[in-house]
Parts: sequence; C-alpha cells; structure tokens
Amino acid sequence: MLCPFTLICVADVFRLVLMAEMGLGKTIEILALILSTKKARGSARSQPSKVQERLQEAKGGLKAAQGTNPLKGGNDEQWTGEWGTTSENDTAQTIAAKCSKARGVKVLPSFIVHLNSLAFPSLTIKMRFRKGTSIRLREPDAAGVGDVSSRTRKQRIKEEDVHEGLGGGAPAPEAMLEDGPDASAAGLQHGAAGDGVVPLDAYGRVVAQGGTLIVVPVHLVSQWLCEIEKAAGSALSVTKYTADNKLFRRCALTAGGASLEAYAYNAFKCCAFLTNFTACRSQGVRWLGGRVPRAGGAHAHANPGAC
Amino acid sequence: MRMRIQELAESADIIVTTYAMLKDDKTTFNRIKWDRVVLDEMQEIRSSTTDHARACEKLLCDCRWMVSGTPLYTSIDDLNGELAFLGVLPFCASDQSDGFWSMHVSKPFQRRKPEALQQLNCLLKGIMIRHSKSQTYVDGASILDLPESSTRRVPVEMTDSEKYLYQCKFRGVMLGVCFRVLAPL
Repeated sequence: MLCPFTLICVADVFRLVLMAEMGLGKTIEILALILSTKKARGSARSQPSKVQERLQEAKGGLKAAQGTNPLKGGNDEQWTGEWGTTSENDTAQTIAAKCSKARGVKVLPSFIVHLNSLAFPSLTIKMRFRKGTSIRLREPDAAGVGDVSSRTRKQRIKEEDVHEGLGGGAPAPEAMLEDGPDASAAGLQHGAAGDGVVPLDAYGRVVAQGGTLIVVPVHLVSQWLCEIEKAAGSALSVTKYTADNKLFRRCALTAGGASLEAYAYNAFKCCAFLTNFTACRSQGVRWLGGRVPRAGGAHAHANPGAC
Repeated sequence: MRMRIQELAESADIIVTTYAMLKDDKTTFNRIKWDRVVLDEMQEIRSSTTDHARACEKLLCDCRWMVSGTPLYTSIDDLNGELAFLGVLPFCASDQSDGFWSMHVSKPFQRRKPEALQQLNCLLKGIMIRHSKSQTYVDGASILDLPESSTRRVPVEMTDSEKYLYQCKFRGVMLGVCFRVLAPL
C-alpha cells in the first residue's frame, strides 16, 4: 500500500492543480502554498532551489509517514512485512500504475502528467501489498514514446534542472485534456492490452483473460448482435449462455416475481389469474408435468403440448 | 455457469451480457481481465451506489467505454455517478465522501454560473466523443446509412391458452360494460 501521507500529498496537489486549471486559482500560487505549508513542518534551510525544496518536503513527508501507522486500525498480519519502493528509473506512468494497484484508484493521463510536472526528483514512494498479491509493472508502451509520461524521472530531473520552474514541462491544461494520443498512450485506465499486469485477483489467483465485454439492457441484446454482425461484415458464430436455472429458481422463490410466460406455457390455462409460481404453489396448483418445482430444485419445464 | 463464462471469455472475442447477469455473476466476471468493457445505456448506472453500478465498477479491464443517447437522465448529478465507472477523479467521487462535485460543478450549474459550464466543457472534451446522424466519413458517406422503413401488418393466430385468457378478459369486460349500461335503468 502506498504510504498514505505521500498519496494524500500527491492527490491534494493534483486536485488543486486541477482546480487551478479550471480558473479557480493559479497553479503556481497553490503549489507554493502547499510547499510553504509543508516547509513549516520540516527543517528550514537556506533558500534551496525549488526542486531541492520539493525533495526536502517529500522526504519530510515520508519521515512523518513512517512514524505513523499507515493502516489505521488495520491488522499488520494481512500485509507483507516489506515495503516496496519505486526507483528513480520508474516512469510516472509506472508509479501511477503502482498507485492504482495499491489503492484501487484509476489513474488519469492528466494525473500522470502532473506527477511528472511535480517532479519530486528522488521521491521514494513506499508501498506494501496484501500478502499473496503480486504486481508486475510494465515498461512503457512504444506508443508512449515522446509522451511526457514515458520519460524516466532521471530525464525529467535533468530537464527540470534546466527549466528550474514549477511545472515547466507540463502541457497547457486544455491541451492536456484534449490530447487524444496522450490519453491513449497513458491509458485512461492504466494501460492497454498486454500491459504486464498479471491477471490475478485480490487473493493472487489467476483469472481468465477476456476480450471485449459489452453490457447492455436486456431488450438491446439482439440489436447489439446485429450491429456487431454488421460491423464484422460476416455472419457470427454466436454461443448463447442463459441463466435458465437461476431465473427458474428465482421465479419459484419470489412472490410477485417473474411472470409465467417464460416457462409456463400451460400455466396460463391451469391458473390463468395467478401471476407467479409462488401463487401457484400456495394454491396447490399442479403442473401437468409434475408439481411446481421447489426453490433450487431440478429444472422442470412443463410440457407445452400436454394441456 | 462460472466455468462456462471463463471458458467463453478465453475463446470469444466479444461477449454480450446484461446488467442483471453481470450483477448476479459478478464474482465470475470479476475474475476475468477484460481488454475492453463497454456499457450501453450508461444511465442504468447513473447512481454509483446501486448494485449494478458497483458490479460494473469492479470489473478488471484496460479500456472502459460508456455509450448513451441520454447521459443526463434526470439531472447533472447523473454524470457524477456515471463517471465512477470511468474513474475520472475527482469528478467521480461521491458527495458523501468528497464534495468536489457538489461544490464545483453541481451547485454552480444549478445557479447558472458560467464557470460550471467551463468546467464541464473542460471535463467532457477529454473523455467524451459525440456522434450524430448528420456526421459523414471523409469521403462524404453518412456514418448511418439506414434503408427506408417499411411497415407490414401480419395477423397472428392465437394459441389455445392465449385464446382462453383473451376470452376470460373479454367476458369480464363485457359484463362490466353491461352492468354500467343497465345500472341506471
């Protein structure tokens, strides 16, 4: 898990920068405000450069964080004893991926850009993970070459040293949000396919790798199939998986639940004014093919032609 | 069912499912890492606290798309819940936990402040693509080329049980009508 203090710092800065972009203030002023607030906690030194200042503040923050239990109320036995750390060669994207994985936070390209622009030169983000979890981080995509987020932090530090300004290398906020390639390279959701994140669940179990999942309302399923077929330009091989058993069970369980028409062709004739299986069963109505099935029982369709 | 979904996920390129199915089998769907998840009619999850929305949010995937013709179903606050699936922080954070949306978007929007529109523009430019019927490809062809609609009425023979039900209803209605007509007399 990411050291909470650091995360809060980064998140606060990110938010304030975002607010500043939206005309709520000036980025530089807000950043300066944050730094001055932190400076009051740490040891004041004689006028360091802004980059050095930020380094000091980051270190101060980490020290403060080390002194506190990052898992307030948590049980340490659930966590690995060792803290993972980021290295200086990590790109902002990699760090963001770690943050994302550790906190379950989705990372935006603008966040990555700002992580770069904040430029904590040797900021060590300390992390630890739940036991049994393994996270493998990917190298930046080829598509990300040239993107701010794909440069290593060492490169950024060199550039920052040249600029010596707050957020000197960051693109204009409007451009950043509008920039499509940046968004795709950085990945709205931390990366594209083959991003190196091993498909493990929270307990470290391997999960399947799927293609595209389309979630639609029930009445649009057939339309989507047609649209996909049209787009594919050829007939599709369609496999339908239905949850008949589950529906059937629920039907029997829930009073006022699903109507009879899906399963009970003959039920209309047998009990035309009853609305569900529960009502049928409570009145002792029998199916022609047997009793109305019990909850969780076998899948017993009525015989449509027997009535 | 679970095994079938996992097998299917590995063999099929595209899987179409429903919100109800996703909610019921969320543990299965959550154990698959999807390349892309597309939510159609995204207003279905406009409240991020519903089971449907939570099930969608927990999906593991690289790319998340949402499709809708009516992204704002009741109010501007719908967008807040919908963005939770995309994870657009801080806009997606709920007001119970954060307050950013309410303070910087929702309330200014209700007070008709121009800043609210600027912020929404800034947000939506980065995450939304809008298509309309009038759009064309580079070669001038329309993106939506629908054939002329034609209507045909086909009478359908009722089945025995349908006839039975119909007759019952019909008799009931006729009796009701008769009583109403005869009652004043």
